[in-house]
Amino acid sequence: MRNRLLFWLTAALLLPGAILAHTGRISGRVIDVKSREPIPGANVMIQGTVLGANSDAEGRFSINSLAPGNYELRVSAVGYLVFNRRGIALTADQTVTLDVTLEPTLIESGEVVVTASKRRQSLEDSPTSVGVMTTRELAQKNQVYLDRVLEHASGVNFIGSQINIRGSSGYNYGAGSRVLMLIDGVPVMPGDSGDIKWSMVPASQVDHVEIVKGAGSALYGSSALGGVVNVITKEASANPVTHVRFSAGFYDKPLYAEWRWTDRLLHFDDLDVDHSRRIGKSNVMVALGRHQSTGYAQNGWYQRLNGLFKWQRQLTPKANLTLSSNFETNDNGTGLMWRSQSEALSVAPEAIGDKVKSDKFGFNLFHRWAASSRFALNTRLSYFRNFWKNYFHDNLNASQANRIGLEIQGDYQFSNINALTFGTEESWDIVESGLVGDHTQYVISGYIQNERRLLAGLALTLGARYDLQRVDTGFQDENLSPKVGLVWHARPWLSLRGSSGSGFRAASMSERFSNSVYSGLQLIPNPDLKSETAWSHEAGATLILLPMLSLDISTFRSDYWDLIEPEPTVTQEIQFTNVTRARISGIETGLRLQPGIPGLSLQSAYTWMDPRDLELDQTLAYRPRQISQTTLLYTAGPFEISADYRYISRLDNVKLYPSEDRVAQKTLDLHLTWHYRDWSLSGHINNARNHNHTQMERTLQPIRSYMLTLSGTI
Amino acid sequence: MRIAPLALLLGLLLLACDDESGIKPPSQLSGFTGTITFTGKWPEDTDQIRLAAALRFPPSTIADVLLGEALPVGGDSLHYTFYTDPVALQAVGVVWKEKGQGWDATNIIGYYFPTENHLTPGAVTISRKDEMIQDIDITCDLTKVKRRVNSAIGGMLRVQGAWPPGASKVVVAASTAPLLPTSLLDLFFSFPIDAGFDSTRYIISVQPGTYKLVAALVIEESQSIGLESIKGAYYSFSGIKIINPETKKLDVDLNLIFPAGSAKAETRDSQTGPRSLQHRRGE
Repeated sequence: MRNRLLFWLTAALLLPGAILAHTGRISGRVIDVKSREPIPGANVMIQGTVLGANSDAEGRFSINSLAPGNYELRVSAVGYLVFNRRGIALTADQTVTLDVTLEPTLIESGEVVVTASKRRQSLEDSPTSVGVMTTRELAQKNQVYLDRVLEHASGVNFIGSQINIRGSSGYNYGAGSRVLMLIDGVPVMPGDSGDIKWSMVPASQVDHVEIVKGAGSALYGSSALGGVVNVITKEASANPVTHVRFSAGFYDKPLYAEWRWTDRLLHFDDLDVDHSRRIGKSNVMVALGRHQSTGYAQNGWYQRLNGLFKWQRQLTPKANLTLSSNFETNDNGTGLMWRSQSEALSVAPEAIGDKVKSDKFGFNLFHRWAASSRFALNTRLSYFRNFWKNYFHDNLNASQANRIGLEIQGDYQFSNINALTFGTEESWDIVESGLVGDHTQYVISGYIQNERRLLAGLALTLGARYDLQRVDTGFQDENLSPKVGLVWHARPWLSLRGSSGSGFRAASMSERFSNSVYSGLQLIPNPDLKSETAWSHEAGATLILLPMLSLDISTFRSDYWDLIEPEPTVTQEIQFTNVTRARISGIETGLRLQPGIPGLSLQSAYTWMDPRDLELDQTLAYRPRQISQTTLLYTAGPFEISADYRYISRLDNVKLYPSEDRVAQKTLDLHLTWHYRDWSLSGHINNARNHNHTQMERTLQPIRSYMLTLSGTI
Repeated sequence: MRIAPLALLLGLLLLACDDESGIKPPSQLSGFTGTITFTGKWPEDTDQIRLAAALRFPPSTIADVLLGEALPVGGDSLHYTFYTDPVALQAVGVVWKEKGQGWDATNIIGYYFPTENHLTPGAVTISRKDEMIQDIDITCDLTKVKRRVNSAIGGMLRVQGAWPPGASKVVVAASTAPLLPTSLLDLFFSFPIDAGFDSTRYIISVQPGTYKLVAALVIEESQSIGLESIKGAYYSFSGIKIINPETKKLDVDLNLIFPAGSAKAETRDSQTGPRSLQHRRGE
């Protein structure tokens, strides 16, 4: 037995090396065809292999370990037309050097995503809808935290801090999320609450964000019930570079004098600095951020400190290692609900001074070994710790959640038309909490997905994942999550896609074991909560109608079983129970238009949904029927003017105070930016029309604020 | 073309005028006001008291209860004002909160009773945006506070016959009164159960004490409760003894018997309420 193990280990280590003793290399530079400037961050992929690279700050790229043969190179960058070159002949030990010139386009295209299939693929090859918030969009929105950026993504809305993708989540008091959040592919949901901590990674440390819509448990397991948000942080650059961003601003007076709760000027400021350089054979980045605000509402203040460290090293021509670590310390006031509608920005007198202190720490180790041009093995080891302590007038509580994760993923490209992704994932949650008690939880899973091109332009994806969850109380739950997807590039201007996938979410420890008082609400445990499950179906089409007009249309339907909802009892206790059978169906459209005026572009999205609670035959609570986002951008020389408008229809149904006023959310943000060399100065008016609305009962959303931002590169 | 960016900027700034279509403070103040008088000694574990107004009584969810702001504790009486939009309230009371525990809207220490009938809470209806109803006075008995306990009375609730139309909920109440209850403050209520079942379990969280009467009350849609709501009862002269905060008596079964024809009779005359047989299972 031992000898057999040794044989396989030796074979695994030596065989790829023997196969790949003589390989070639394709390298080159990506530049703008007009300006001849280098294009950093372009995605370079060798079609039919697992190999690819991103261009560096000087536009250079290099792809090693290519066996002799003929290759097709595909280069894409946001804002440019895709570049394809076939028939690149490579012999053993040869280096082919290519200069790739990309042609700018006003219709944004060329995005490469990594989340939909757990591997690098073109956005148009994804069978499920994927939204991408690009580096440029992140800069244009100029928000400190990602939740304020993601609310501009199509089909996305927030209820408090809970993200809804096509109405998936509703609101459950922050106990568990139906959307999975990843940072660089690693889940970062605390083991106790299982919710998303948006303040953990400031937007300034982010390269781009991918939003996969619909159930994604076939690859990601629990929580990917309504979708996946993958935050891709910035790469460490080899060239010494420092980015600085400083912003400061203040809140306007409330629209109504009755709501004024202080004579002080309510203000906020943010400072983010990151530095990258090459040290020895490694690229290193260090980022630090300090963010503080008085808040616009009483008890809405916060003080936060963030850090990110990234170390990347090419260990061998075939292997690279990335070590990243991030932390956040957070001290913030908290007020669950307003004092009254007459004093909508004040909290109850006894809640003044209520606050929460928290610390978060994440550590990830990622190793990629491209054994050959057809096989790569990715290993991720992660640790995430979340500690919080509350100082509420009616209770003191603390919780510490530790999560250790290990994932081993293989990418095998059988042939140019057949790609296999498979892997195993394990996670351990260890929680010591005054809220949920001391518990441990273990999840083991395995997944496999095959993507095969059937005919010219037609690709079929089949996959499934099995998850087994064990809780220390003896509770055990298992889920099998299959998926199927089809993409057909019917015409150069038309792509069709369809997918069906299942999803599940295991109850968080907060939902299962909470036994405490939270802002006056008594939470009581329910240890036997089952996982909630879903099936999502989608059919969509992307049309490039004219060089300046693209349209994306999709219809979707998600069926949910055993949705875990907080059920208030008459004694004002909250217990999470499997109660709801629900269905959300709808249509989503996205439009990108360059209407003919040089420099002017329009991007718009509209989502219509019918969220039904099938048990009660009524609209699901905390889900809007309509979501719409529009961005108008005008660029003239060094100036950029833009406006973002969001409309979210009035919630038909809420749980706590259904008889109180609710209105549609209408938010207009205005931005003016002046670029000078490597610096930019921008002014922003957020919620410019000072529209007052709530997302959940008795919690007013931010009122109008003014902000100046200076950012640049040293 | 140089005018275009300026025009766009100006247009956008013009858009940035105040939008008053959102949430706003109530334009006129409506609600009710009165005096709260306290009897008994203030418990040391008092955290807060608040005014509670119930849209439905007994409430089924916390959405049925409007909680007011915290009121001062420790005095003999106080004057209060409760602001709310026009609304029909089936009950108004004062809810007590124990230190370190959550709010429990059933932990009522005093109701508004406009008459001598203290088994039916007084309804308060605010019909206009500028209506402020006066003299909604409440007397609170501080000896009636309920601590968080695990003690309970429960059992099976069985139905014989057809449910009369109009029956909406069933609530089971346990009374500490020596004979029959004379005030809602003597009663502990179960969670309201949707009408229509054949049999179901009920459970009432009760304080340590002796309970002589356990009664099932059938509630009609939009109606409050009273003595006439009692449709099934268990009476024990010696009483069900709940010795300590952990004592559970979960075998107190009740029968609700709706005689044949009651549904028809109800259809003919919905004003009289459902006819049913009061069933007693004494010792």
